Amino acid sequence: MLAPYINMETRVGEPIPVGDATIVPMAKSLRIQIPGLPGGLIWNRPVSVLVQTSDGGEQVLPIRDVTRRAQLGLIFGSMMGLLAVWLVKRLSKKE
Amino acid sequence: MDEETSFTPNEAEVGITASVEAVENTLNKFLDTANVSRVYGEPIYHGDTAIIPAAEVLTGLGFGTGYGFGSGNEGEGGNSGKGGGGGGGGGGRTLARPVAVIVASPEGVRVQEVVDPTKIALAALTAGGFMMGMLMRLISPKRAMREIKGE
Repeated sequence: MLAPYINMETRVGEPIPVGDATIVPMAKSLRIQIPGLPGGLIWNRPVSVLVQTSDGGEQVLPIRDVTRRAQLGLIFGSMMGLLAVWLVKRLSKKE
Repeated sequence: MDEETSFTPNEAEVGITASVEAVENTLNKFLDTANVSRVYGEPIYHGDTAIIPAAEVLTGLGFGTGYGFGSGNEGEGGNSGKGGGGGGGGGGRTLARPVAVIVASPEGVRVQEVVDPTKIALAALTAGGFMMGMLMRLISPKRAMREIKGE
């Protein structure tokens, strides 16, 4: 139902020849458009690169967003820590 | 009746429609930014090594238009007393953040992640502050006294 307004797709870029290898970049884009409002949001991020060597070998190298993972990990960890403290306190109160 | 007084709402609507079309064209150009070329930069060559920067790009855009018409008493010099106007505005912002660099050398191709310690430290401080605040609330003496009293 939300497909026309929220759209996520993986796009493949132009191959970049580097030495004997060819690098094919891949990116994910998220498009959000609110119906009735002229405007929107586009979030592009790199996903991986496909490395094609001259001997016919292919290798996919994923691109990890370390900073984003660390941020999310910290937030998730603090939430879990709080939940654990709250649960312990609640259980000790019942006893 | 001179040119100024020959204003009609229909003419104003034509002008407004043109403005809206211009806005829509800009919006379509904006939507075309969902492109791989926005994420990966041009390769930088240094000897046998090539470096391709990769970044996360977030773009937001918004527009608004409005118009109105009115009529009143006939003015001086034969003015029709009718008028209208329209206006529009918009704004947008693009945020980019480096995520990794792809290093291609004779030894092979590798992805080198970019770590932003400032962002991580800010997230740690925010999460720590939030946790401390909530813990203080959970173990506050006032709260403990209320629980003992059974309130």
